[in-house]
Amino acid sequence: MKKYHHFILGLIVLTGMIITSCKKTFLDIGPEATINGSRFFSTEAEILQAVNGAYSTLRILGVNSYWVFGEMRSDNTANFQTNTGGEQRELIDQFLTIATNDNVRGFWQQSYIGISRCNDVLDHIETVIMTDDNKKRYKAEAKFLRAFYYFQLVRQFGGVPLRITSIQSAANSLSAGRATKDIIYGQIISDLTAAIADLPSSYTGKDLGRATQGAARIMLGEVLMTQKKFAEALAQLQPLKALGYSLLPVYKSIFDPKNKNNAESIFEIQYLGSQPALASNFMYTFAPANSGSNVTGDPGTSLSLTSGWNTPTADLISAYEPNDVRKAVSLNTGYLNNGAFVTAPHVIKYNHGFVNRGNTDDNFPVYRYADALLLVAECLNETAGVNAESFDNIDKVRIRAGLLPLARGAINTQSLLRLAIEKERRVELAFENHRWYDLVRTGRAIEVMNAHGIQEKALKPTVIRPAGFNVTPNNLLLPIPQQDISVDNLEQNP
Amino acid sequence: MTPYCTWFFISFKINTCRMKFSLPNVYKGFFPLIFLAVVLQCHNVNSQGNTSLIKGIIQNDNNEPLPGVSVIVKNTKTNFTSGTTTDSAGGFTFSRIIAGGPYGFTFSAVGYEPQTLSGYTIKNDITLSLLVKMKSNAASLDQVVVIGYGSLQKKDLTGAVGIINAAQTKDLPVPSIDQRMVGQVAGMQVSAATGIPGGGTSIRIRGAGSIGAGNDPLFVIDGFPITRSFGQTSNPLNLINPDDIESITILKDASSTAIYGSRGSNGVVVITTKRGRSGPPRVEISAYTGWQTVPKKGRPTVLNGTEYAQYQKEWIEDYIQATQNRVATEADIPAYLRNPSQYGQGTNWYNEILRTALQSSINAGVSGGSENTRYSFSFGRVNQDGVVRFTGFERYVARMNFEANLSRRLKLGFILAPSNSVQKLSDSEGSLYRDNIIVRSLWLSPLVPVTDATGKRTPFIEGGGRPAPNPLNSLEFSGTTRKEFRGLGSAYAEYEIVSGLRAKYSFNVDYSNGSSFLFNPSNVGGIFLPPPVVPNATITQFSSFNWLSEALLSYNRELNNNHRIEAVLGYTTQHERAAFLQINADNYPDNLVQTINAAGIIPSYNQDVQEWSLISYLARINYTFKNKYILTATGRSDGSSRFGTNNRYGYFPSAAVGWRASDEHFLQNIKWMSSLKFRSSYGLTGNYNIGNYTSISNIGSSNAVFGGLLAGGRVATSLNNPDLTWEESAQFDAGFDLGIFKDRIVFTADYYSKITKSMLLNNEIPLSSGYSNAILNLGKVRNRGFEFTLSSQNFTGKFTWNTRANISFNRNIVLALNNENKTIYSGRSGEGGYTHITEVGKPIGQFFGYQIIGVYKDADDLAKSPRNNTSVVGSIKYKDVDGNGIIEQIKDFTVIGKSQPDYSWGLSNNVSYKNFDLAVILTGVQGGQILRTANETHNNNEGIAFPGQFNIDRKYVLNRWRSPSQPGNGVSPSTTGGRVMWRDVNSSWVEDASYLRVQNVTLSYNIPPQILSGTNVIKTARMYFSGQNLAILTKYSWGNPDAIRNSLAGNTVSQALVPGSDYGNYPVARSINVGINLGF
Repeated sequence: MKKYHHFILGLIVLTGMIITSCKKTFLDIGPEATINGSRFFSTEAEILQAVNGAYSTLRILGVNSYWVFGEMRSDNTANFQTNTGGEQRELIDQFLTIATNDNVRGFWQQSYIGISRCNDVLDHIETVIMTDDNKKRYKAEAKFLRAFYYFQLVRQFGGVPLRITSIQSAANSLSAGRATKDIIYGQIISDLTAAIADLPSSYTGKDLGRATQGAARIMLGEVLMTQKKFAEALAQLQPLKALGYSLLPVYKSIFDPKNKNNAESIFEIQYLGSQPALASNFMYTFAPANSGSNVTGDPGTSLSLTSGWNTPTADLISAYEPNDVRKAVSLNTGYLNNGAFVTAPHVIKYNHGFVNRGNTDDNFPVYRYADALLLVAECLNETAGVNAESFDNIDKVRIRAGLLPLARGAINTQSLLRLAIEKERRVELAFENHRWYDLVRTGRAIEVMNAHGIQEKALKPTVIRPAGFNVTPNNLLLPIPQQDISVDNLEQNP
Repeated sequence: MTPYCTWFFISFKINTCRMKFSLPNVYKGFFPLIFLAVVLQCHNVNSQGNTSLIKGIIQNDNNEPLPGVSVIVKNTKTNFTSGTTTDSAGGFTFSRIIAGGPYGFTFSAVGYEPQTLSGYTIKNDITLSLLVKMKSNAASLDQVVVIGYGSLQKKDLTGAVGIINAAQTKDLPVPSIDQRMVGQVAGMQVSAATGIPGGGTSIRIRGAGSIGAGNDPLFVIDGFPITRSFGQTSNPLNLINPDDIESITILKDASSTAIYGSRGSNGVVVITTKRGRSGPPRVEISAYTGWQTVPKKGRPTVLNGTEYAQYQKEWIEDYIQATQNRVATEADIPAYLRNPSQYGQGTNWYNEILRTALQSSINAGVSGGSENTRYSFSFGRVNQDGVVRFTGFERYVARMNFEANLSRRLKLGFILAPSNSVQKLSDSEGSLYRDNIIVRSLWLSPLVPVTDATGKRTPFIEGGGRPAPNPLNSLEFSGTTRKEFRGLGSAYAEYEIVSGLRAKYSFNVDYSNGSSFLFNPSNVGGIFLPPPVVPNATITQFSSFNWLSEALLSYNRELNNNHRIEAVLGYTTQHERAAFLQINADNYPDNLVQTINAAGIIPSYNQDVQEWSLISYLARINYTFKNKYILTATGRSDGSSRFGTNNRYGYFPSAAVGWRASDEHFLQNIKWMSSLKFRSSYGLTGNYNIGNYTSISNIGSSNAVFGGLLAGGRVATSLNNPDLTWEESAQFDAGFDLGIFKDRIVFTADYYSKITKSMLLNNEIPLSSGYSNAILNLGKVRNRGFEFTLSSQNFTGKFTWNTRANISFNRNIVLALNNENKTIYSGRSGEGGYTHITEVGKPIGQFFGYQIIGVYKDADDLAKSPRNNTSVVGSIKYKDVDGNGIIEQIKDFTVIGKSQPDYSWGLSNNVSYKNFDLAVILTGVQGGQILRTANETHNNNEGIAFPGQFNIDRKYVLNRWRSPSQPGNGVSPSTTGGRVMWRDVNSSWVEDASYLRVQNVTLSYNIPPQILSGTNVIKTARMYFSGQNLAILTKYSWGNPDAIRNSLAGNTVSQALVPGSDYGNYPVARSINVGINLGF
């Protein structure tokens, strides 16, 4: 009996020991569907993935935010009809934005997510073994992207918290407060200068679409222009021609997904229609609300609350000169529903059919050579006044659009040429998220937007709130999102 | 009917018996047993040779036969022992008992006080017949209570423990056990958060102590801590048939829960299932059927057809007046609105989607065993149709318990409990909250009939409202079917090393495998999307495997009469791996083949694997000295894979003392006081529900595109926190148990104070960090309160009346929050504002919004009052909290209510007379409030497009401001402007959530044995009528003051932060049932 008794006891002890023996690893369970961060960023392949991850934020900002703040805040677009449910965007359009606005929050948050991903690359890359050339390129790409995100932020919010290293734990998540605009611009310029030095002038094959030296140059040019440093800007913009960019002969073909990353394209946000997670959807967002499949040709979407955005305003439509081919490429004033014409202006620049329901293949142009030509024209006008090269640059763009060259005699002062450049940029780059920034950069935003507000109120008395479009210098900046005001004690914009 | 009458009755009977048998000790032995009657009857039976026969019947207080009672006969001289159990008629027999004596009998059964008889002498060829009455020990101190990793006599308990016996809640026709716990235990609030069949309940033990780690208690089924918690549509207790449950113990204080360490801080619910007992097979069948309805009172009221058309017409008139300053002409009014009365009552969509739903249940079980093996097997089916059409719940559960004594010292056993459930769900309470079936049925246009002239359902409801599919089509054709197979299995061996010292090893498995499938066919459509549409589907598959290995050494010993020890030492390891796969499929060519292979594309998919493990050492000693002084010490160490590497092991000690004052001789003179025990405990417990990989920085995928190809991208998605660890609760408890008049009245009172610190707080961090939240151990919450329980046997004997009452008062207060005690804002209103606020010094998740003043009566009022830039005359007027003259979000929000009640209570009465029993359970909650967030659409008097698109709250809209001369009720605003304002939470949405609910009334009838004896098969039969949720007295305007919004909105990360919000939940039904229980 005693033997038996020991046997059983031994068995129980043994079982316990077997389990104890694997104890060391028993509690050490890593995730299976994700990767443990402490072991990442350690090989070249992982650094490249991290760089790609830093680009991926652009896709989200492109479909959700950039058009809201770059285009809809301007006089180019509005929401066509009221009460479509996306009231917070309406409020942005009418200069009634408040700090809890989800769109503002999303724009701010995604930009900083992008910045943090760039910082992750830059924080880890130095110790990773790879060729010097690759290391330089990856760093330059990350710096380009970081500058890009900061440039969006600083123009919409003014001075923002400067984050140039990634935070390692929640304990040091607080920022040092809002840096001044100058500090942010200083960082942008330093990042772009470094990027220009190390970025290749072009890519091939599976790398097409990455940041190039040309992209960094045109962005730096625009940054400098925003700071009124026109001569320095020219020094960045003029080498673009030598980098091989040229205008495509046909305006329409610039935006065709078949022509992605063409000779005119300097930088565009890359989408892939065949992958739902990587696809764009501009055609749907910009189609008139409740237009069904009439505009998109896609019977599977309702186009209710997600559509009807970024609709061309009456004064933009009238800004196109007769015979301007760009108008028909860029917008439509309505659509046919069972043969009947429904008036509903909408953007068609990114309407090239869909790949799968809700998913389109359209890239979004950020910088292209026509933009560069007009920026150069602007710089020259600002530094030298009325000059032939400015006219030449504008005319290249106009002639492609089927228009006559500018009448040199009538535009005989610097300020008239300014307006001509502004107008040309407005129609050439319509719906490419430049208009708002151009208006702010040239100091015209308050004047233009108040005039636009009066026009809008007259046209849509029931849509525009009484307090809307009362544009003051304070309205040029967006409110800092409430979370960062509350948690980070940031000072709110006036 | 005093106890003394009963006593006289018994003693008379005993005296008469004594005259015929020489059993001199019987009388003496019975003297103190007030409720025990032994009737010795004389029979002339056939001779059994040289032996004698002992027969007996055991009954309860109500003269009902008691099956399953263990009977042991022992010859105290020769130590001969034999045992058996009673059959379903309560009878037992011993044959071949050798003449002589003295013999003694011991009778024991769970739920009853053990009884002993002694001093019998058995004579040859004589039959001894016994009739034994056993007293329910619901309140008895000798009752054995199952606690964590062992059991104790109730009198030795030092912790605060609530007990629910099977008998206490039998005949409650509900599909899951949580609904039988409503109102039963002080300090345990069981709320019907939703009425979804097979869906979840909210259970809180001593309040909500956690903000970010969940507040569900830990459920332990037959020793196995299961790890799931309640969800909107899921209920972790669905795997048990309520009829299989023997007892439930609710562990509340730290002394009782510390043995569960890092999982104990929300309280522990220990569920024990029925086991087989030695004896001939006993077959039991129970069944009920009934119907459920949604009470008329509490249904949301919207405009009928005429009213709705009239309202839309007026909407246009007012709009034209406001914007064009002219009176509308007939041309302004669309033709279909010109004659509102043509629509009559119109369609009440809410009533259309509801039905009287049937439910039924049938269970069959067999149990029995020989001296060395015991078995119990049961199988049951529940079928519950939902009160919302085309929803329902069906479940099969089997359970098999088997145990064998391989030797005098070694016992082996196993338990197998597979279950399979199928739920048919609608999208109620889902993430698309405004468009879910329930809310949609409130706002759909009443102008459109359900069916057209040919009797076919109108496929798409448009015309005078927001266009959407017919909800009946959505329910019938595009509901979700969720299937789950889940099984518990366990095998164990127990070895008695020396008397009282036992080693036990068990291996347990919780396996589940399930899927859910949703197909949106071409003929249903969507909001704004008329059919035909392109069909799509979502399929989800999930599986989990959880194993627990447990080695326990336990010691139970009574050393002379002075020392009694219960001790346990254990080592356990537990591991779980759960996998989840979801595939969204699209572009089906038609509805004919719905499996994924027929889909045109797979636009998105996801897979996740979650794994964790836990290593624990545990120990407890319960020591009783001289039956008076009790000391309990408990400790557990938990190492968890979830915790950061710097804080991987947690230690959870607790200690408790008890003093049975009534056993002190100086108190024994107090005749009315039968027992008095003081208890106090203090200890630490934890909450480990922080997610499996929260402590590490996770790298996820976020791809880019280059050259027209996917370029793999990886990004950090969360922050590293190697210090992350469990939440710790420190709880003090002091209480006493007082028994009066031989424990006919038992009163228990407890005071507790539970402080949860190092709270796992999902803290908002600056968005500029690239992250929005991080889980940190910060903050402190205190729950403290009083609990009182009273149970009383008001009448005993032929007419019995028992009462159990409990009441608990809990105060929840936040003592500290994040680093700088910053307020936590949570929830998301229709306007993007917050709905709840959590701040130091206040309860968690108070309602946060505008304070309503009224409406701007006229232009003068508008000009003089603070206002929003959207305000117009007639629009809603709020308090200018910050006094800056402008009404704006957040700045003018203030605390407008709280959901935490002042107290909650339960009251059960059981009355029985002859063969009739009546049980009534009332429950109530007092002092809490509820926020009707559904008002976001339900009060949407301006519509989203012209004209007003939502059908809305009738009372609200008919009393609206229309002009200074038609000011309405002064609260409902005009339809002409200011629409941003009221979609934020405001004080008019806050309502009193106090209620008194008639939870259950059951009338049952035991068919007398003499009627059944003719059948020769059926030994017991019991019939009952039972009504659940029969009535509710509340000021709340909708049906369920317990409602909790299940889908989280905005940046809210935890249910705890947004309590008490009704977004139009699945209604909770009233049900009426008839049932029968048969014993064979």
